[in-house]
Amino acid sequence: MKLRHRMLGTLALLAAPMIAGTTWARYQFEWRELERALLTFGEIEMVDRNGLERCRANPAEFPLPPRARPERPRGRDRADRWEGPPRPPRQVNGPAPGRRPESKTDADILGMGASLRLHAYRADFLSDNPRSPPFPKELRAGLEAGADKTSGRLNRNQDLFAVGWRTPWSDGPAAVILISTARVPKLFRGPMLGAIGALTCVLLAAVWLAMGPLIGRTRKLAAAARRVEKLDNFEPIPEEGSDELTDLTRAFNTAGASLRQAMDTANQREASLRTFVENTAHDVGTPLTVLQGHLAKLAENGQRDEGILRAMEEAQYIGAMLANLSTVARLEDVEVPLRQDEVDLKALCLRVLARHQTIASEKNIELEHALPQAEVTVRGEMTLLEQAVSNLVHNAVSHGQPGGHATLHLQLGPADSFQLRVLDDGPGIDSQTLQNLTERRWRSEDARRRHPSGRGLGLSIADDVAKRHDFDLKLSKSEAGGLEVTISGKCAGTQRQD
Amino acid sequence: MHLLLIEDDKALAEQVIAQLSAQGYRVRWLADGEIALREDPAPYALIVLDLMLPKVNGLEILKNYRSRSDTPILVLSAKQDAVVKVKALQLGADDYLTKPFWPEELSARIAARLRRPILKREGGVEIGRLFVDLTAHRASVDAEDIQLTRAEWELLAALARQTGAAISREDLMEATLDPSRDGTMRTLDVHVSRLRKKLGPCSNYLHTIWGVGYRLEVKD
Repeated sequence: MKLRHRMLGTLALLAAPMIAGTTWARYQFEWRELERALLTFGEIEMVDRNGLERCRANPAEFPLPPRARPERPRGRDRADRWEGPPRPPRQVNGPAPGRRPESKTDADILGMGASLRLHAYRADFLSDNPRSPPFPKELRAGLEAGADKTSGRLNRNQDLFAVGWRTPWSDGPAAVILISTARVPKLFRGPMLGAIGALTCVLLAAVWLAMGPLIGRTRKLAAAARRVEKLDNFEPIPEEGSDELTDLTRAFNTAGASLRQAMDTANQREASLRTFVENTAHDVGTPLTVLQGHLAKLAENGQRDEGILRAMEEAQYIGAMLANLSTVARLEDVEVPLRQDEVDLKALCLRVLARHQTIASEKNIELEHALPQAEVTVRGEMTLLEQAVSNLVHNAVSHGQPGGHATLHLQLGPADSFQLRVLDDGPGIDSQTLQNLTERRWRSEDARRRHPSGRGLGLSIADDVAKRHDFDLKLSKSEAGGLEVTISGKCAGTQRQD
Repeated sequence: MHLLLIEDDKALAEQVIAQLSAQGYRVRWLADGEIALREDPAPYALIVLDLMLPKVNGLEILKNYRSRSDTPILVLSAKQDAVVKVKALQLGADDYLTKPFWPEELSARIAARLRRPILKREGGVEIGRLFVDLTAHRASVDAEDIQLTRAEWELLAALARQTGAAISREDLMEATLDPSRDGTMRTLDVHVSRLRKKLGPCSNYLHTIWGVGYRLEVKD
């Protein structure tokens, strides 16, 4: 969930109970006020306006309506829905004969208009006036329990509010007074709801706007973190304001700078190491060539004994190791993407074959090749591909037996694909070791061991190079029981000769 | 043939000169890049150029020579760096050799550059002393016709059509053997054996490629 949405959600969660509490308090206040107003009306009516005397004088006709001027109710008068006995004729509610009409009734003052009613009952909750409604059960229970007054909403639709008042005149026809009105306390009122809604919207909008700058700064922090993750140039984030986010930004800048410095140091070390390896390979390359020349001369002069052959093999091994060191250094340099040159695979194969021909001849291994007449071009980094193929041929020659064979076979396949196979009739490798060879990585210590197979490092590098070029490298047993390694993939472009 | 060697390491240069001289080449050696820049490359059959030279970079010499001559240039490099090698090929180097290398390797690369291309006459292919007339369905060694059976002729023609390329046994069986008869690998090998005998002095042109098939080629 986004920060802004979370904040708005939290605000809404906090606002809801507050609004509900306020509404309930207001409802209770309105209830009490209405109750107090009705009781005040009852006291005025019974004491100040001689209601008690009139009731005692003629209880069967009490009460007389307090209204001075008849008011035409809007729509259907809610009092008409009284669920008590049939109402007296309408004129009963008019001004009493001979009574001075008042300019404004208390009911008007209270804002209750014609809906205000007052009825008198004896102590047993029965009225002497047959037109008075039965005393509501909801209010009776409270008064019987000893309360002076009770109030509640009446009727099936709860659209009447009434107060039951136990008067001090408990022995007469007005021991209990029932005052009712159609105005009822409401939990929600339209204007109030609008006000609450508007206030909530304003509040949410204010929070939404106030969150903007904070979110903007948070996003800057996140973007900076992503740049560090991708090893891009780390630029310090401007430290705006003086709040907690500023502290966070400052801490992030400090951590980022430290990380950048550590990475720079590590990169410099790696670069130095790669340069060292490259320079070492270069410096050793020329004297090793001279050494190989002398060894070849000795072999040519007829001193072909076991010692010379072993020395030549070791020289070949050192040369391969140097090349592999450079290759590994290049593979580790992930910051520089692979070159995508067009590489002539046929020329590459011929170079590899020539490099191993001498040692193959000395070991009496027939190093053969088969290349297609058409050009075979792939995209990739030439030296890496050459070293991968060289490792395969080196393995095939190194592990071959005198009188044995090693063959490099390059052929075109369907849909502009190529297949490069290097196979030998050496002792071969059992299935379990084959599996391990493909899983072994050149970073592992195991891969660096020369023996027992000595194939691990070269094959692992070849496998890695193949993967980096989206080629497929597979190991299997050759028909003659030796090892067969196949690299296959897509050509950059082939020109078939028919 | 006259070759030019540009190499600053004296021990290596002396070794290369001795080796190439023994093979009949005349070799002129230059150890200084600045002097090499003033040398005319045109008279040489091939130039062996080390890229790491004092004073002048080998790539500069390569560029200079290529602007003046088409003489094949074989580049020697002690670095695995792909950038340098690709740059050398882009500047016109014909081949490169990475140190360390065996003397035989250098000889093979030079020979490959100087090798006489296969001659293709009208309707036929000339491979050393062997001529295969693909139109007249005739083969001759030193202008002497050789008598071949249908299967032997089909075999020779299939190999001659792709001289220098290895052809798999499966492809040769398909091109040579009569599908109505039982043709096996063994039958093919028998036909190859008989063809080899009939080729006489050219029998060593027919090479067995272990694990693949056969190839017709004149080997050095």
